[in-house]
Amino acid sequence: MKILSPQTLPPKEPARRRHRPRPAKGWSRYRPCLRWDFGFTCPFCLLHEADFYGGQPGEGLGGTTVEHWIPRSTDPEHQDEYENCLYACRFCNRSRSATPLWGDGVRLLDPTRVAWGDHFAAAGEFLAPAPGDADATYTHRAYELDDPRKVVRRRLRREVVTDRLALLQFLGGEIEALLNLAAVLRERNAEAFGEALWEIRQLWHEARRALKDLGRFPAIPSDAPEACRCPEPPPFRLPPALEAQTLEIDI
Amino acid sequence: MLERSDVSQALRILDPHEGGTGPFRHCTLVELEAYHRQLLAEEEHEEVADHLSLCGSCSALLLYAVIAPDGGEEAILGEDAAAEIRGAWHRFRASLAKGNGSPDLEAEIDRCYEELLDLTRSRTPEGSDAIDRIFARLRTLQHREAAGYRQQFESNLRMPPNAGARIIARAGALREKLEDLVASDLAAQRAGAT
Repeated sequence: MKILSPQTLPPKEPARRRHRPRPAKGWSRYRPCLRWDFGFTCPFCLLHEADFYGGQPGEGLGGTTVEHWIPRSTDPEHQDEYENCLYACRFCNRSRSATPLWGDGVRLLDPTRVAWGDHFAAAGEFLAPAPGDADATYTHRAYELDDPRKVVRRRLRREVVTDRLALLQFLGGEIEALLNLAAVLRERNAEAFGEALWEIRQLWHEARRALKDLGRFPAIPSDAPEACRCPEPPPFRLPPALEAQTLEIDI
Repeated sequence: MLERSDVSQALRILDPHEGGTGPFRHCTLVELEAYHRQLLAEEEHEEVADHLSLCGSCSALLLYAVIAPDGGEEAILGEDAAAEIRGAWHRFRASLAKGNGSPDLEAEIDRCYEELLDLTRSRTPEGSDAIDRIFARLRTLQHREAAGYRQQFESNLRMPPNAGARIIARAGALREKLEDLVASDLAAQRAGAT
C-alpha cells in the first residue's frame, strides 16, 4: 500500500486541476473531483485526510471542506464555480473565514497558482513563510497554518511513521541474524535455544502489531471516490507532486 | 450495542432545540438519516455537515445509529472501521455518563472565531483589547483540543508511538546476549577439548 511520508513537504509546483466537472448547483457535488485534484490534502496546511480520520473512511464527517477562494459572503455569484472551489481542512476554512484576497499591499496566496514550496518551508512541524515574503506571512496568518491542532497532527504523523519505518527497515535482517545466533546454540544449549526462540517470537509479534499502525496513514483513503462529475474523468491518481512523496510498503 | 437507555439519554442531550441555532443546533436522527442517504436539500446538507464538523456527539450518533445500526457494522465497514466506530460510541457513552455531556470544545472555539469576526468588523477602539483577550482564549482552547487529540490518537494506536524504537533496542539487547552465550559456549567447548 501507498502511505504518506512522515512529513508532507510544500510542493514545488502549484496544485493543477485535472478534473473538469459538469457545472453543479451546490459546490459539495464537486467533492469527489476536489478530493482527487488536491490529493486528499489541504493545499494550505498540507494536512491529509488521514491526519483527521486515521485511515478510516471519513467522507461526510466534516473534517474537510470546500473552500471558496472568492468567499461566498463577498460574491455569491462564484460559489458554484469549480475553479473557485478548493479542497481545505475544516481548520483552514474556519480560520480564513472571509479574509479578503488583498490586505494592505499584500495578497492571499492561491495554491492553484503558486508553488507552496516557493513561499513556505517545512520547519519541524511548522510551516515557515519564506523570509521577507509578505504575501506568505499574510496567508500564514489568515489560514493559521500553525494552529496547534495542525501542529499536533503533523507531529504525530512524523513520530509514528518515522518510528515504524525505522522498524520496518531494521526488522527483516535483524530477526534473521537473531535466528542464526539461536541456531548456533541449538545443539549445545537447548534451554538457551528455547528461551531465545521465545523472545524472538515475542519481538516478531510486537513488531508486526506496531507496523500495522502504518495503515493509519494511507495516501489514498479507503473511501476514495471511483466516480465523479467529469464527463470524461481523468485517471484517479494523486497529483504528481504529492505522489512523489508517498512510500510504497508491504505490511 | 445501542441500548434504549442510551438513546433516550442521548436524545435528551442532543435535543435539537437545546443546542442553539445554525451550526450549533444538534441534528435529529431523521436529519442524520436523510443526510446519510443524501436526501437533504443542498443548503440543509451543508448545514448538517457544518454541525458534524463541530460536534463529536452527533458524529458518533451518525456513525453508530445511522450508518451501522444493527450490529452489522463489520459487514458494512470492515473490522477496523467497526472498531473505530465502537470506540467513538464508547467515548460518546462515557461523555453521557458524566451527566450532561462534556463541553463541546470545538463549538467553543467556533464561538471565539465568531466573536473575533464581529469585533474585527465593528472596529471600535475598545475592541482591540477584547480581540487580544479572545485570541488568547482561542489559543488556549486550540492547545487543549490538540492535547485531547494527541491522547485520543495514541490510545487508538496498536502500539505506543515509540514502539519501533523500543523493539529495536530490545532486539539489540537480545543479540548481545545471544552473542555472549555463543562465545561462552565456544570457549567452554574449547576448554573441554583441551
